[in-house]
Amino acid sequence: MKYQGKVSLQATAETVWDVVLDIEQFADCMPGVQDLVKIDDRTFEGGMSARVGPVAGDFRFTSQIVDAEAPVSLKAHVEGEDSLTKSTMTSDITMTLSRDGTATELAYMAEVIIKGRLGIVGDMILRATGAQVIEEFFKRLRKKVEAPA
Amino acid sequence: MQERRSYDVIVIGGGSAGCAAAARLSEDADRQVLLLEAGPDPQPIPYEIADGSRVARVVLESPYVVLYPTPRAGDGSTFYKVSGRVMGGGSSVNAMAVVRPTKHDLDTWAALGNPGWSFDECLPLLRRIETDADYGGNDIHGEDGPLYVYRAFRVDEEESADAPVRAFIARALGMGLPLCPDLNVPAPYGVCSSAYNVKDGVRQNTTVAYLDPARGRPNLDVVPDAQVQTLSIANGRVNGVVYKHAGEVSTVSADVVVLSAGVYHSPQILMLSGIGPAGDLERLGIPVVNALEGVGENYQDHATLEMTFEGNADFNPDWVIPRFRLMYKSDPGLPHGNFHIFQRPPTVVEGLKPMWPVSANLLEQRDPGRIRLVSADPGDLPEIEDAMLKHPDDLAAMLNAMEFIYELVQHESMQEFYGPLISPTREEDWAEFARSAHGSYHHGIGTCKMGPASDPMAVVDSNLKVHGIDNLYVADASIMPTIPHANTNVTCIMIGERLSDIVKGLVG
Repeated sequence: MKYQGKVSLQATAETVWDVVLDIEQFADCMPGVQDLVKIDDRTFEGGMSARVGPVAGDFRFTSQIVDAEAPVSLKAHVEGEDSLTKSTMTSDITMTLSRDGTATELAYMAEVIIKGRLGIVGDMILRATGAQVIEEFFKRLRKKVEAPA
Repeated sequence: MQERRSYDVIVIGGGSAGCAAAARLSEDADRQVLLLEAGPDPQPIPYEIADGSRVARVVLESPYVVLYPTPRAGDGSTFYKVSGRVMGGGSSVNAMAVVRPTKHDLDTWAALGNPGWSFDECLPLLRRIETDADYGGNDIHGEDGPLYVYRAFRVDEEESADAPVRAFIARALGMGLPLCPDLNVPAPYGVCSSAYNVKDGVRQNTTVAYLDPARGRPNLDVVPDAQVQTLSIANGRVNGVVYKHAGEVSTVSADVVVLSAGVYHSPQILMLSGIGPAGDLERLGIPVVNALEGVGENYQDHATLEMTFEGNADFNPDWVIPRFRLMYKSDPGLPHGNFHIFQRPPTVVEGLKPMWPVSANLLEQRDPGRIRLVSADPGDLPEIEDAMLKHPDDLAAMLNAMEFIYELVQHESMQEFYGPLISPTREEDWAEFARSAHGSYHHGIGTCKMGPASDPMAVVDSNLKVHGIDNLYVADASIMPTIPHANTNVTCIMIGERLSDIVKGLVG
């Protein structure tokens, strides 16, 4: 499944870049992420937990920045596994920043691939989850990078 | 265990149809029957299958399912089809729904050149399958069959339901859907109670309902973990069934051979045996024994899609599959509903708003797909070319149901429970969402289509006999010429019952 979109932020590209590249600040913007562990400047691990009716499970993942050109473009690779079905999720995320007058346009594209049984019943749930995470992420990012009016 | 090398009847596949057929055929002590099942035969059925409350978990966690990665016709992205590989087949891993084919479904089969398959002619089979705890003994329901059927929740007695369920039902009735307490009437439409084959919390798969009572019979041999490699055919007859068990290859023979290996593997075994589309077989180096272009074709399934809304209430039900469903018509002129619409339980992810999905399951498919062999190796899964939602009318029907769900949920009477739509958003292209995000209701059928010899795509005749082969029959979901407007387990059992009647008339 693919997610792509653009958001306009009233901040410089450098300000946005600094927040996105700072793992603690980036994690602050990610709703639902628990047990965050910084492995190095480019890598962190985390988890999410979910419940559907009487069925509950955890999802653990590792996120790594694989390419970065400040303050223009970023590529990250995410790999994870869920505790219930041992299905795997991989995602390649591309983020580009471009100046738009006094604002910065952030364009993102993420392709998520689920392999295993989670794909049988979890596809729609993941789509809705992804949509919510993205919406909340940019809401929080905006709060961090935009100066109060 | 297997005691003999030669039988009156060999049934290949102990699924919904195969267990029913083997049990019925072995009722006569003079008839020697062998049942071969590719999966294991754990006895008693293990907890993860037996526990009726674990519905989704048997698919998510147990070793008894096979996954078939399948590209969506819409955009090539991958989703999964599933089958059960364990004694009982699909009836061991499904959601235990007891839903009959409609009158229109079966009358259509008969009208396609299949005498004996009209609703009125099949009704005695449908009645003898079941012991219906709620309606048993009335004009259409049985009261002494092997399959126990009951409804945990009656939509005509819905006071006991949770508030979100009551609101959902009230809103559906307010939109004009009638109450239809028995989903298994000939033309169901409206707000229906869901019937299940669960007794005292224990799944009543065909292992429990049919095979277990027959296991002690000296004329019934059961061999699990037996994967059929090929059928040996000469002079228009099957003279040997070659299978692998515990690493050894064996051959057995019978007067009658019945393929009940399911929608994916019955056509696979036919093709591995040289029965199928000549061009495909030649491409794989399989000698053509009987060119039947319809083998693997006519593949149909039910497309499913979820619309996910924000949840406004704390609701944590103990069910994954709800105990009622809407039988909705996307076209008022239809003789019965063509969608199952389900209220799904909330998904709760820590840190996010609760997600309350509603699913639409399209119960028809106009443009069929197909099943193909990827190699001549029996161990390789066949490849699925899916075509759900490919036909513009199927897509239009799905979009209609999505609008219906939106209208149902985004009403002031539902605001206490349902918030705005999360996925797809109102701004998204819903047609694109449907093409790229749909899943399967897991009701594949049609790959060994029943029809007269005059139909070049027919594989079996109305007596389930393979065209051109004297003693080879197919009895499972693959023979259905059109997909029923229903979950398919009961229809498969009905086909197994019909097969047993046919073979009893052949082999004394």
